[in-house]
Amino acid sequence: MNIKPVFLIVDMQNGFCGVGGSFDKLGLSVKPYRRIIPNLTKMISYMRGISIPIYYTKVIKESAGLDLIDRRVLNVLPENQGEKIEDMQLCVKDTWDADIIEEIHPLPGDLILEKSRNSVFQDTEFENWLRTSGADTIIFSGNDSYTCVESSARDAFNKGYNVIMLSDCVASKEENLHIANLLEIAEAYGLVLTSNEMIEKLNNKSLLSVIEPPTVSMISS
Amino acid sequence: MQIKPVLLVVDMQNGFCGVDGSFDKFGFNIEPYRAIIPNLKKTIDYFRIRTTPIYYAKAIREASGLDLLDRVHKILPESRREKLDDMHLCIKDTWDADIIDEIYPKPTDYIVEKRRDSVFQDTEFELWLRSFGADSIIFTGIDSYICVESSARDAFNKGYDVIMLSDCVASREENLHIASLAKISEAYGWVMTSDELIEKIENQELIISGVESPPVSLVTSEAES
Repeated sequence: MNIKPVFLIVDMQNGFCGVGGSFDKLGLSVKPYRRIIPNLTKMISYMRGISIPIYYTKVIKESAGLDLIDRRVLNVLPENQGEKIEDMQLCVKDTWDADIIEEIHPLPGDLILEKSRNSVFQDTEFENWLRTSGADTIIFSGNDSYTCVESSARDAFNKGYNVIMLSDCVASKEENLHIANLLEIAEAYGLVLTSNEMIEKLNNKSLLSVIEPPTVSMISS
Repeated sequence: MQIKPVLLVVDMQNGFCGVDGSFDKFGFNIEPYRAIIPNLKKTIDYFRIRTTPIYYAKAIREASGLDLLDRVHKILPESRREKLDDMHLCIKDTWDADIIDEIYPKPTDYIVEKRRDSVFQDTEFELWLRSFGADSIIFTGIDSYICVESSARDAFNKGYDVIMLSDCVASREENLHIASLAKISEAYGWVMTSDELIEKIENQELIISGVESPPVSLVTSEAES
């Protein structure tokens, strides 16, 4: 099987999983998120090594305070979601809180997508990038498994892209919903693999055709 | 609180939940799907008389057999691949693809044909919502964790309020059905029973505005002529 994948890292931002970030300061456990950092580091450097395009997503809010996921758009919001939004200056655009954590900070050749909602496809240029590179597959990683990662993966499937999710590179604060997410992807949407299983598949070349990253030469020149 | 909702009934087709439909003939247990029919019927009737637009989604495939799922994907979970290869499931314009008799659409209802899981993907659904000024979607139908959940997530991403009726959605996978309801109520909207929603509306805790239903006169005049 020949696929043309991109590697997507969802919302690994200081505000969610950085020490001293918004979630951390609010006393939410960031441990489940931080636990995947070593696997992500390994995967990112592996993908870079074989020239698979790397995409980071950042969810951002306006510095004006409120944003597109509050009562300006939605009347019906779960209690905890409403509270989170009102109590925090979470991931405000262009702040440290919104930036990708240092451990896996993007390099100049990587692409960064800013999004205002859960899915990486919603109101972003992501699909245009995929089309220009001829990519047909997205390898999913990041957090939170059952919200942004899962919504992005479902959209990817709806739009006709192959879905691969790396079980040890996605994380949730809700362990049971994390597990449910992996089950649902495996049952209805695509492949769920560990990072090592993924590397093994890519190493024996049975599952790959590499996309030339168009931005590299531009950056070096 | 005041909302302007539409009621969405996802994929209640003979192929999935009809007696002698594709799933039934294939030996799948369709009981979980059929168990919600009475609740659905009650809910549809309740909203129809309040001029809330009723939408039925239908998942369809081409008569040539294959469709946009298998032609497009190289990586498909085994359970999906089997269904696609072994069944002539919900082929466009056949009985199998039609909505089950028990809750059959009235001429004033709307039907959205879709090729993928989400009701928003490549359909006119969002345009309808905008034309009504609808801001909320009440989700019902099947399968909870596949088409219903994907549609609800898209609705949220696009800025629509999400209400899911726990006794009007169903899955053949009980644990994923429960997980789906947990995820929606945790991150995306309200999960409640149909009676709870009706009660909220009856005691005016939740005000719903209906819409002028433009096709009614059209339908009646056609029938008369």
